[in-house]
Amino acid sequence: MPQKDALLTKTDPGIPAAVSITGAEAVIRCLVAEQVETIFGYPGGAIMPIYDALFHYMDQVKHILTRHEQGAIHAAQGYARVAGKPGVVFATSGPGATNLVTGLGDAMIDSTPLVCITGQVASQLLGTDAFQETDVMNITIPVTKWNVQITRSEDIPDALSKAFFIARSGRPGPVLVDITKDAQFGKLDFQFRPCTHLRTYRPIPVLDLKEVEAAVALIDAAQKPFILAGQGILISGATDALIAFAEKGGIPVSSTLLGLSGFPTDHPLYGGYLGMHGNYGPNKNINQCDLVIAVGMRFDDRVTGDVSKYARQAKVIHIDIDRAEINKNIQADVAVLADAREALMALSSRIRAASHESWMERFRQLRKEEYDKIVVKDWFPAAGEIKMGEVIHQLSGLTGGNAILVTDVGQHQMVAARYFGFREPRTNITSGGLGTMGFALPASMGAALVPGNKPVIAIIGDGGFQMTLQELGTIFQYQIPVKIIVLNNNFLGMVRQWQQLFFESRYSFTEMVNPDFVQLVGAYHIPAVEVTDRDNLLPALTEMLHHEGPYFVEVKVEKEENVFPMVPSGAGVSDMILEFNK
Amino acid sequence: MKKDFTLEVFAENNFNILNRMINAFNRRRIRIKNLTAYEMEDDFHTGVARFVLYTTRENMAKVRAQVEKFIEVERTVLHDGAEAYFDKTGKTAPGR
Ligand SMILES: Cc1ncc(C[n+]2csc(CCOP(=O)(O)OP(=O)(O)O)c2C)c(N)n1
Repeated sequence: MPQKDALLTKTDPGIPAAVSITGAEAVIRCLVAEQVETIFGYPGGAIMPIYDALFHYMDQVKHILTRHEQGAIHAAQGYARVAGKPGVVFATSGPGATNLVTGLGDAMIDSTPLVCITGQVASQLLGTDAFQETDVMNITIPVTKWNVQITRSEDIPDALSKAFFIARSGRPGPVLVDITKDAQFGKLDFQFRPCTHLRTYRPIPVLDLKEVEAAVALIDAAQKPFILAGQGILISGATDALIAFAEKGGIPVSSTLLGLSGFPTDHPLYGGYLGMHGNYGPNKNINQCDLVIAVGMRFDDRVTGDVSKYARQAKVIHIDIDRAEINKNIQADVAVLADAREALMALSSRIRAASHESWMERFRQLRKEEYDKIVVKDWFPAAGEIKMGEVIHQLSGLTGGNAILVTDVGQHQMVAARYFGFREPRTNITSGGLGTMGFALPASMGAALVPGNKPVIAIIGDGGFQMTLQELGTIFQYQIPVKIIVLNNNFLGMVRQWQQLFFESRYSFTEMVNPDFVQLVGAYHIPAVEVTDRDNLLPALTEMLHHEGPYFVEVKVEKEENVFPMVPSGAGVSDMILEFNK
Repeated sequence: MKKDFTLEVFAENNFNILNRMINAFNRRRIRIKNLTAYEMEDDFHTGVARFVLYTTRENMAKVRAQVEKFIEVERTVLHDGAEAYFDKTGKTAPGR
């Protein structure tokens, strides 16, 4: 098809209300109308008309060609999590679409807004096992908030505005729009109508003041209240509301893994990080408090451990926007179905000002115990190999928390969550619910492409780095200024730790023989250094932060280091262990 | 204790929505004893799916909330037991 036909409007300044254009061009014009700045993608046969239309809109929307569709979707996730708006992905049919599945699953469980557009074979070929035909709709049902297949070009504008509305509203999530090739080629009278309402979808529940009053009564009566803050704080932009609420009530706040950066870690009311490898104080105190105030979190099993041993003595207030989360894992005494910010503001204005000094003191005592038994050894080891903890501690000090930290999955992720001082919202990007190794490198690219002035630092294990390291090509091509730190222990460290603790040190297929990472990264013309000596660590990190473009630091860390404290799998949170007793 | 429940789901009749519902039950390994699905005669945009499910009351409540979350789902109606809609011959009561 001649290119001119694909683009009847681009050069026409006086665009009438409805003009006849191709479905492919309509896709791009919808994205422009939705104020999409950056698309992450990878072309192929079934999406070529859309890429062809994109060619003519390069002045209005940027496209990043990744090296794998998984890279594209993780990059879009990183972008979405930092920007707070949907990340956009293009992929072709068949293998292009199936390569998105891990990222969709990750975005689904971590509530990340995405709009993925996949090409599909022509509609008359659907169901015939045509070349690169796969049943994307059915494959992606469990990993999308919504998906739709478009076979007629005239349906494209409304489907896309609906997709954006669904992705970003309520509890955000990934949406997939599959467009057959004939719908891309066909003509339509284009008119963009933003979607703000759907008959069967109520994304934001109406705050019920009776529930608020019931919550206030519990809060005012509590001696040992405890706030558990999840990612809902970040999604609803509720950091200031949370600080105000916690300060008025004198209530300690702990963050889940995804909730980190929603409450400043240097705030006097910060109680630490929750979960299996979280801090000692919050995990112990969950079984001491008399009131749990859970906000925008879903009581994931990595947070609760054995639910039959979790906060049994306490009353529970659960604030969430998603009704399916209420009573799913932990029974709530009072459920406030609402946007986190709105609920917190309503609570703040109604609760009595209070302080709970002796209760806060328990957090401080347990923090000191953890510091003496674990943190000191991690931050200031007298001798021996470099520890993950000291790398993160130095990085935290050097940046003053003024950075976006993107972490992969494993020991390094838990150490980073424990030791990095998060100061501002949306500075912690990690794969929480799905625990997707290979997430961090591409996600950091997306994070770094959001306009802003904070350095983006990816912390990755040697295992996870090798799952998506093809994206070094993308970083090189577009000179994306990510700072990559690989903490290399030549092991799948977290699995090895479990093998040591729970499988009598049988290290079944967890040791890794690695390539020369510095040379490998060097082949992409990205400056790269290796650190083996403690004395070189600080200078290398400093140099990295001063460098303008992408930069790579490999730190050789202790091979068989363990992350403590930890709640053994299946145990109760109070059974958290501080060290490994052989 | 597991028992029979009848869940009626009123939803926009899009291609995927029935699969989404079935997935929600399969995922929790809830047995589907009977399933009737149809378009409204006067409005093909709206469909009704009526499931007889065998599960605990607690699981029923949890999965119901998950089904209600689907974009296309307008509302659900839950009945205890299967008698009203399902007899041993496998015939269902007429739609409403
Ligand atoms: C895609 C994927 N496969 C397998 C796992 C299971 N897993 C969790 S942590 C881990 C080890 C990670 O090793 P590495 O990346 O070297 O980081 P480390 O734990 O050593 O810091 C593995 C294999 C996973 N989370 N994701």
